[in-house]
Amino acid sequence: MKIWHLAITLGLAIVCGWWLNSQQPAPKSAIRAHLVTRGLHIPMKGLTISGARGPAEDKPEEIIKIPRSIKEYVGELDRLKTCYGRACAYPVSDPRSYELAVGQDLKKVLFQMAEWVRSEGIDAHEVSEKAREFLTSDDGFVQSAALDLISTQRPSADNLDAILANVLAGYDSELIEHAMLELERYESRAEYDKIDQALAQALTTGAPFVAREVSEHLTPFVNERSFLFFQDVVAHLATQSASRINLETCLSDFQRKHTSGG
Amino acid sequence: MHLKNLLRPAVGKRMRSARIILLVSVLGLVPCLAASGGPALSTICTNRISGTWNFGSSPSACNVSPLQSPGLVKSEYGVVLFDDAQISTGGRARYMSEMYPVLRDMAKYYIHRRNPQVSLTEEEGFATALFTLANQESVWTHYRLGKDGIVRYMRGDNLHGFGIMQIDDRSHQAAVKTGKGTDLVDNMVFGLDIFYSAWVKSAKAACVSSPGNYKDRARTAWSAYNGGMGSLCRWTNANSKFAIQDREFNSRYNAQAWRHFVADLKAPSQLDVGCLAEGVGPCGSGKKLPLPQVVKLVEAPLAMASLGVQIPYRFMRECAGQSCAYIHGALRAGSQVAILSESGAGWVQVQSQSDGQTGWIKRSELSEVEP
Repeated sequence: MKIWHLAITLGLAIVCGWWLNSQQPAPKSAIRAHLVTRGLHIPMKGLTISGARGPAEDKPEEIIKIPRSIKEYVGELDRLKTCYGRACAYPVSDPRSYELAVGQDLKKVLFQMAEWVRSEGIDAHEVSEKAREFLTSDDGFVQSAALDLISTQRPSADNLDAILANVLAGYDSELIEHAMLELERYESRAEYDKIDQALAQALTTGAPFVAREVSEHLTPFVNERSFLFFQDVVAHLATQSASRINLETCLSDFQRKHTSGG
Repeated sequence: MHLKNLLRPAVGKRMRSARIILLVSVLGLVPCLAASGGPALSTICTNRISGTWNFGSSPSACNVSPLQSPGLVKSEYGVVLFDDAQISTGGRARYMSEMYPVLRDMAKYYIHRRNPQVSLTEEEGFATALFTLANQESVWTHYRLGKDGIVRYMRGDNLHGFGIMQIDDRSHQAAVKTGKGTDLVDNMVFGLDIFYSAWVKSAKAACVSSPGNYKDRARTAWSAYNGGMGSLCRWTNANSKFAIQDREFNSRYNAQAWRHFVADLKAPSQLDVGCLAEGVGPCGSGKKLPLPQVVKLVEAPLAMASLGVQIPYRFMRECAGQSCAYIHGALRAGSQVAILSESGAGWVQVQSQSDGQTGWIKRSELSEVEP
């Protein structure tokens, strides 16, 4: 046994330890300026992240560049998106592993972009365009990051349509609370009507878990203008359903407050 | 291999060197694995047992607890609890005869819920698609009562797949954590949410000859269910890495092997599937809704704060396991939070005072911090 054998092995073990530790979110540990804390989406200047992790133990080797401008973010997102259609360095250990890993990296860059846009106070149509584009993804992780990005921008008709078509009419109930908070930012009469219609659609023929989630967050949308509309919706819901019970509770709460002047 | 054998001097020098390297590597990996936080919560499996690739008992299975109460499974889903001790006495046929109407009624409930004007032929096509999907994914396996009396549920795909529809915890960790992968009806509804989306898309897919070709649509929707929406027409590509799975699905669709076990294809289901799916009991014997979790507020936080008014809302991030990106709660501007700890890099761990949820947000997004 030569001493350098041992030295190499120990070195490998230390590198492994450092690498795995670098995957830890543990924000309690000091985050040095030259390190990237993957989960917290802090953009770092002039760095590349290698070995970006996919979900769970997957370990893709695709390199993510850290952008420093909208153009660079858009370029990096476009580059990663093309991975869906070509062979990038992601694992193909099972039918989902590759797409999941691409999605994890897209999510990461989208969250980073949202963080950066928010901290810089940027409002630009390119940001909304990218957010809308990735809101159409069938990967819930990517959609959640796209929703975060869209919420950094001013409300717009296109953004509203994208949220309604891709989240409310989708099947990922985990996104609904976020989406409905975003919908509260829309305040014109035409937007209200569009939102009410989409909420009614989600309640009646939407994915069951989405319908249930929508019904749990309806309070801000029930008002004098929409009360009768939602009362009609009740009749279209199964008698014994969580969605119906939640909607009825919401309507009676509103009525009680309204009649008591509260 | 025992540790002491690794260092046994009876072998050659080269072999001994290799063993020392192996030992040092293993010892080096121990802290590495500890640091990595171990497996994600959702992949934890207790009392794991194997099984046979046959209807109702495909490998493997894990204890339903703590994601679901074994007592609830026995009382609410007893008719579709596959009993390992009854295999040799007709248990499989009995199980299949109970599970068939459950799947049939679920297909009918689901497609009518999403499309009240659905035609009878599409409803039948959708049901056959679901029978085949459940055959392909889990061999119609969900709950199993082991010979040791432990109630389990099916886990496949290296433990990533949950239940009859094989809900993948890598894509749906939040749902899995709340038990949607464990409860039979929730599992089916959750899986059908994804499958139905692909089913709708399949009507216009290039690889489907017409919207009324329900076999093509089933194959298309399953390819997407298995490989993501980008794989809609994967089954037409004989060179696909997963062509064998697509061929298996086709064979199972044609064979309909489940029919051999079912005594009466028109028998009613003993479960009120629609009621169970809508989440409100009682449904027959009554499904209990999960009690809301009461989270205790930390009594002595570092400080109290409210969220900055300049930010409409922010989402806290959970940092369990290896990811901080999981969104699990919303904070509005002005929401009160308790500061629990600080990272020293601009991030603080906070607890929402309205629902007790904890997570990490940027300190700059807080205002009115009071010690």
